[in-house]
Amino acid sequence: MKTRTITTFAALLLSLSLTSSANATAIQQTKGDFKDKFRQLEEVLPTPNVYRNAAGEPGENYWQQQVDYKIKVSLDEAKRRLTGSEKITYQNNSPYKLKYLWVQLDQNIFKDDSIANAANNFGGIGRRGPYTKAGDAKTPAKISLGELRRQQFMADNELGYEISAIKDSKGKKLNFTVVGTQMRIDLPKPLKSGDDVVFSIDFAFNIVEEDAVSARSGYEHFEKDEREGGNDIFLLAQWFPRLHAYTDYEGWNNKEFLGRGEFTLEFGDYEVEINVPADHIVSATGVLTNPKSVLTSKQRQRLEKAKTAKRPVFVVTEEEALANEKEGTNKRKTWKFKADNVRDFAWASSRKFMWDAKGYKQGGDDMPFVMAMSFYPKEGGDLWKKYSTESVIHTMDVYSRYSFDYPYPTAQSVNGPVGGMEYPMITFNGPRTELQKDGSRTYSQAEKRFLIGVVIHEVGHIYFPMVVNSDERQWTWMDEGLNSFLDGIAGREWDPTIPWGVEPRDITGYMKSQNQVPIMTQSDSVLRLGPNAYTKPAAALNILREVILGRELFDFAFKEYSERWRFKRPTPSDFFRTMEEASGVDLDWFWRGWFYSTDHVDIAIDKVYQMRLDTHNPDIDYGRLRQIEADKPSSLFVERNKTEGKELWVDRNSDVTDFYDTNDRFTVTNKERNKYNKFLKGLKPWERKTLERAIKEDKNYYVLEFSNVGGLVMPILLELTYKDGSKDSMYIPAEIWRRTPKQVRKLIVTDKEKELASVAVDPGWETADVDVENNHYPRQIIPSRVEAYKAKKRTDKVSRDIMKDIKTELKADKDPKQNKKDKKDK
Amino acid sequence: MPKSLYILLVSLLLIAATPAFAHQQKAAESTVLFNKRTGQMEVSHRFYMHDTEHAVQSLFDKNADIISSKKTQQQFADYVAQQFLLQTLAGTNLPLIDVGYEVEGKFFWVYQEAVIPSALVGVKMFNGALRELWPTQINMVNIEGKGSVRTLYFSENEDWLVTKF
Repeated sequence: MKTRTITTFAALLLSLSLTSSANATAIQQTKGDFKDKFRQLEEVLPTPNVYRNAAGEPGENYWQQQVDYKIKVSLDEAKRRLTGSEKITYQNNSPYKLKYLWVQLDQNIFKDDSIANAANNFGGIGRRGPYTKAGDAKTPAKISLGELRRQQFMADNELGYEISAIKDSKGKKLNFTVVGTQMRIDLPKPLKSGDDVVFSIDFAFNIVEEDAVSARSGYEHFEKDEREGGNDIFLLAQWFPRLHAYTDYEGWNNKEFLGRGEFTLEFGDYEVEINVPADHIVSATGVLTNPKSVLTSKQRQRLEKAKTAKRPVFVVTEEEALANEKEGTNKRKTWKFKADNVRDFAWASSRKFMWDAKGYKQGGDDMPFVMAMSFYPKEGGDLWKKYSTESVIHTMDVYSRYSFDYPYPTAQSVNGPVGGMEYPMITFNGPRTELQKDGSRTYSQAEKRFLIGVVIHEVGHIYFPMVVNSDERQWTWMDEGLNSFLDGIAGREWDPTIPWGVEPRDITGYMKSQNQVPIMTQSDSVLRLGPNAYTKPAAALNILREVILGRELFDFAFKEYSERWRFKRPTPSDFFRTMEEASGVDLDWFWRGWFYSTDHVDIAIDKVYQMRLDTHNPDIDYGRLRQIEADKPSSLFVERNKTEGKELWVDRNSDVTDFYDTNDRFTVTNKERNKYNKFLKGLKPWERKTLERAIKEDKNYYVLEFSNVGGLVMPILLELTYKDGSKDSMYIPAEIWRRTPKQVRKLIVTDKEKELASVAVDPGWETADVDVENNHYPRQIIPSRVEAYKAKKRTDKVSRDIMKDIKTELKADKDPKQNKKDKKDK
Repeated sequence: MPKSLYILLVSLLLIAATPAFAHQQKAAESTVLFNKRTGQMEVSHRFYMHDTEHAVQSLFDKNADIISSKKTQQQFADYVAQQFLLQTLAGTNLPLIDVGYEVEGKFFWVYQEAVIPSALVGVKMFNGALRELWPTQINMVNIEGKGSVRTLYFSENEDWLVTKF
């Protein structure tokens, strides 16, 4: 039996985090255990320079490379093979001389000997889906059919790039060295700053079956289609050798493609000629430049009509697509596309596609008109007809308000085997309808949410990172976190009854868990990408906007970041610095806590005590002291004596009395009054005035004690409930934790009649506080989830089987039983 | 040590070649709460609705609909219960009672419980939900109410995991 304790794993993680933090902390607190949660980030962030300044802006000498591509590519449908030739112009805008260029060969990830595959094999059959049956660990491990399919596909197909020639502009061969998914091309002479170099690469590769290998592109086969041999949808991405990024902060981005960390690329202009079977419809990054050679005049008319249509217009109708997918042709056509200032180029091709389009009048100077389009097979059905193109437009409408106008002439959504993936001007989205026995196609509510959600998310990626060109291979959160935050905004503007976006409470389970890494971790090393790179940063930005900065400041700063880095390459420090200096709020503590640490939010209210002002006037204070004494419970001893009927000496001898029987120890004499008057005389006028006013107002003074259990400093959101039933909200800025990050006290002064009854911390669950039990004073019994579930009656309308219930027949009025009951009720 | 650490990391980061969109998270979170007030071990499993939507179509039938069909919801809750097992350190089964399930926004919750046995010094746990279906599924379990939170991750070929109090 295989039994592994959690401690091993935790120990490994610990040693990891120690090594990484050792690099970051040059300054150490070696006495006491004080942690400066507000320590400025300057010592962690890269030193500002002429390329990136201290304000988070592109610096005075900011540069980035430009790479232009002219590509001719041909799709062999039968062999599922792509053959192409590209002419690349590399413009060296850096101040440095380059002796060689690095190229990304992403298709090589599918080669047997790629690092991804070699490491994949390490676990042997144990890696994907290996599984011993529940409850009986002695049953031999099973291998999933999916994994078998993957291995068989990889064994049967020669995968990865075949690079046949790399030549300079004069046709002279260039030396190249392939290193996994990367290739170094040695230049005949160093490329000087400001110069460009032209070279060409001839390449070919066999396209992977997406469903078999779970890639970001590939083909999907439809064997049931009427055409003999069926049909395919081809989604082509990472399909041509692309230049690696060369940057001011990292030099060449020599990070092997392992599958998870996505891409970082240079902007450039593309002219791409795509040769496919003549009955295919092609969707691609950019604008079609030869519509007359590939579209019928009818299709071109429809496209024209779509520009001003209220709802999407079919350029290729369902009937036409169905007729198309039944036949096939030996003829070929070449679709020509042009795309300016994009960081990548992707395309899709199939004879199965129907195609709808609708113009989006964005206005503004940059791109007043955008054509939104969708391409999908019959399997997409009504779901796609109704919602795909509309979702594309909704995304542009919302995102533009928070960032900048959509900068490209087209925005497309294509249905294929990929669940969701983004490229400039084109996105691949997976949702489908189900074919029912009666031939109709239906879809569930969840699939509808999926379609709208995924289109918003992927089109959102055209802004981040396709235009705000963050480094995905390094920092997944920079595009996924920002985009998940924004898609939540766009979703809630679509229909807030659908549960969109990220609520702070969604992330508490992850944030209190033991094994995690900071958000600021390289993509491939993140342990759980979903909560770490999507949910946690999105929740953090949500809290920053709604709780800490407020919408006005946040939106201004976020827009500033977007505009500054539009068509440029930001790093995390540029984001942190811009948000801080554009909002005018010191946020270093926030970035430290949420992005650089694994602390969680757990603020407890430990104690509340009341204080009352000493008036110094014995005629007031002594009376109060007497009352305090009287309010104390009397001694149990005395009480029991009373109960037993013990007769007291003083009662038995009531004839013996003296002065002290009528004057207790709180009796005020002139001695105290004289002292008081002397005290008053000694006060300066302002002191006397202040005291007089305070005595007159007789306010309530409460001291609230808080402790920070989770470690992450956050503002304290308070709800004060008074004895008269009224409530007040109070916001204590995070800065209260600055000098004592573990414990703080807050004085609260209320009017005489406003007596405090209870205090709650973050009652609206806005800060991702992981433990709400310690958020109340006095403590309350907070039912656990299971307790709460058992207690509440099920009112959850979502679980009604409406599809079945809707077929219920309405009972007629003359139903005798019902009539009888009605009468009785009256 | 450094070498084995490296290998472990490589295998870890390979488990998830997730597409850019996290709508389908293939990740569930569970809490085993030792509730001193009720004397129960309370188990709450949280699944993304969208994960379950796809899962039920593979697990049960193509038209299974977890949003609107109570039958599918019950089926899925039963499936989760079958896949989640607790034992004492000595290997004695700690049978759990099904409490129920509910949909809350984008999450599907399944609840179970059992009386906390006396003198429990740790538990062995197995959480196989959706892992046979999806190799990249990760099930995180937080153990609460026994000092600081402990976390177990069920992914890849993790079988029974152990936590000691």
